[in-house]
Amino acid sequence: MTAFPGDTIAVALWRHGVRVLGFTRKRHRPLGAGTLVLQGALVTVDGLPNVHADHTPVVEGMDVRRQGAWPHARFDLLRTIRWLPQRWTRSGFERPYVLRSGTWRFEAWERLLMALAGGAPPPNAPVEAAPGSRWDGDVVVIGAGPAGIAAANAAVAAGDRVCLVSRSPAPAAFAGSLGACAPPIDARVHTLLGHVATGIYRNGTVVLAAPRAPDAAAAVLVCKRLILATGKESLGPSVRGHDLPGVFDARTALRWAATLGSTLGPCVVSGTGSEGAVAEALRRLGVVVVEAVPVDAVREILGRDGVTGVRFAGHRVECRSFVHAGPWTTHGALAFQALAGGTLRLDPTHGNAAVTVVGGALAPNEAPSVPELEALRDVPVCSCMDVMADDLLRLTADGQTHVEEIKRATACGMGPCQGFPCWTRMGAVLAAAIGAPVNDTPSYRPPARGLTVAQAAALDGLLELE
Amino acid sequence: MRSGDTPLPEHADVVVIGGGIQGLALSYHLSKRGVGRIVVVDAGYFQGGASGRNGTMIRGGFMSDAWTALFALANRRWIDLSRELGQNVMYSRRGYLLIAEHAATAAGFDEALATHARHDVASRRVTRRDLVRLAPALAADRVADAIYLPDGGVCPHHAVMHAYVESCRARGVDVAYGAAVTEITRSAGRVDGVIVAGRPLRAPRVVIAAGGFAPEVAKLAGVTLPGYPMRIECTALEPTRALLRPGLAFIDRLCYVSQTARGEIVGGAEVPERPQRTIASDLPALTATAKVYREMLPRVSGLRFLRQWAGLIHSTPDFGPLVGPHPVLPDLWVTAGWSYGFASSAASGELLAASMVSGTLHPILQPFAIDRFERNAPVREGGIVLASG
Repeated sequence: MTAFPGDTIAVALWRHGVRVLGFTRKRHRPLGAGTLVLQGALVTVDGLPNVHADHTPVVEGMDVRRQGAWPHARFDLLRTIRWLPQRWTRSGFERPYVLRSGTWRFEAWERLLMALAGGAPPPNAPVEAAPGSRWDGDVVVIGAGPAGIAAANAAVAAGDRVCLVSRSPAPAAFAGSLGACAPPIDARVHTLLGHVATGIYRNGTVVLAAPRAPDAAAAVLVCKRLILATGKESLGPSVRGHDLPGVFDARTALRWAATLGSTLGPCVVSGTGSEGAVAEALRRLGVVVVEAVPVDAVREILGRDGVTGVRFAGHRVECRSFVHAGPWTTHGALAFQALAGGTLRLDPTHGNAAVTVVGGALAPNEAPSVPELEALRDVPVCSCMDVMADDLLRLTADGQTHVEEIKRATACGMGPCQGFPCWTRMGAVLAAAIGAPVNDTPSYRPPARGLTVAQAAALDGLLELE
Repeated sequence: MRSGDTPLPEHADVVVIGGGIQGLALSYHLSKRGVGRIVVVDAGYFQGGASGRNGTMIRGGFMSDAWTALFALANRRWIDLSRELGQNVMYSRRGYLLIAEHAATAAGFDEALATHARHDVASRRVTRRDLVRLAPALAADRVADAIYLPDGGVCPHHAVMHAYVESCRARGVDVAYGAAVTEITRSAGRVDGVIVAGRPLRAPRVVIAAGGFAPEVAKLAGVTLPGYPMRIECTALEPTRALLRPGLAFIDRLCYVSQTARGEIVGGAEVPERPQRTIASDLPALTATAKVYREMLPRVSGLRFLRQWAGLIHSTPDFGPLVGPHPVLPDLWVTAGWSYGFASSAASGELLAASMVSGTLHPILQPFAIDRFERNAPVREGGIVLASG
């Protein structure tokens, strides 16, 4: 295969018509790399499993393999699972009723599960990481959008030692793709671009940040004050097909369109008010936008191995991709960890975090758009672990409504994404089922797939015991 | 799970404080032994405590006779637990490796094997070739000696906890979560009930099965329990295809690890802890675990940590449990101080239920009597993976 300079693996594969990169765990439904659902973006590269195809640039001679297929990506017998009745796979993995432990059948079943677990063999060779680093200062700002840069500049102007962390390799990338301007970063700010702030410890005074490469040096940031400028993510519609390959959140779509141009489309854009601006930005990049509609108008995203169209209340249109710009919601993990959210359940007096939220993250979350219960049943909630709305509705009908219990019973949110966006959608489904708002999520746990064992080991000893 | 949909009764024969695996296993066996009205109350949510946060590893063999007698029985019960409860607990009998890196630790393995033999625990010393076959991912050249326990294994908590709570409810046990006990009431020098969710619940016997909160709950009755709450941390790596079949315990590194049927590699290395009541996880435990993995399981070094989490145990001076009647307050019973409580529950619930019905502490539980520190008779156990600051 050929690729262009600057292509990520996922973009290069899209150019060659490969949209399916991963599969859901139980039903083996296809997933792609365009949204927040991580499982759809993980591939094995040169023997190392779970490499993020959309954050890894293509290199000459690279060996890229699709995960989750058996026995081979080209001859994948697991596809047949999709034709099994859904009830067979509903509880069959988390707690099989038929195959009880203490029998040879259970042992055989468990061995089969393990043989097919995880999608890819473990790496054969060890990975060594560069020694980690520690930074001590006054303020850590997470997010290098316009609000994060402004907060970092203001703190450094006030005499604080400031570290600005951003997962994006360039500051204000999303704002820039929509035509907005951001102030330059003050030269006195210690910047860690391309670092994912992946865990917050000790009431917000310790931040763990790591680059995405499995062997690059991770960093421990020790501060007195934490500023979250993490913005908002687009959740998209909660309809059938919302996790098909070819569905993109606006942020990813704009980034891809900048290199792919017209080959990203034709597409439908939906949103909660910003769909017009996103559609316009996509058009400027050469993408054909068939329609730009409010998110509630979308009834279903059509397609078997990727988006082929969208169904609305009265009509349907053909398209090759679907871009969502809302509902916009903040990834709750960092704030949760800073406030020691899990401990708050144990002890409401715990926690005294010095955390400030600024910018888009400060705005209220938009409620996920959820259809009527009947249309909701076979809507995926957690794509990685293949939890459908129906699985949740069965538990609520049985009287189980505690989010932590439901997480444990279904494994919802326990895959590579670690709870976002699925717990937000889960909350919306539960709210629809019980007729009351659910303002709770299971505990967001660090480090949320943010660093490898090698990177973490290279940090050992940098932070003393409390 | 289904808390608060039926009001709690005003009278019970036994009130169990704590709906973790110890409290539920005890209640199940009390009910089987004909105890009438049993009420389990828990301040938290279902599986919110250590029963839903531990490493899920189970073995019968330890170093001491006292521990091995109890856990040998527990391991036998785990193998048969699905049949006993009529529910799938998903116990996976995939074996357990105790690994020594230091010669001094390896020297203790002879005695351990003899102890295992005395208690009918299947165990054997592992040759280098055997080790490579059982755990190909292990850095075998770092291993001085290893013991294999073929009946050991792992059990996912969600399955066994579900099985216990369903079995208890099917037998008429009231189990209520989100129901906090604020007082253990006494009259005429004996326990006579609790105040739960603001209302009195009278019962001639009360059991403390409150995990890390046991010392605090004991204070509600005006008595003390030795020890303090301690955080234990655990981690999960992203799933991969089968890499580890048996569970592994690195005795010299205070680290344990196993792979779930979902493919996640779950384990943790202990760092010195102080008494504290938090379930916020911390960075040193993550990096310490990573360091052990990198050296002992080099192939996982390119895998990512999905998550880390913490749970509370009740740490006692010898890390052994406190089981039996409270020596000061009659009719107050205790099952506390557990550090390997998930693994022990399959036996400890049954033995404590038998003890409560007969009024005499079962011989297997007697070494763990609550007053053993006052009698200067702690239980020395060298085969556990725990550290305190």
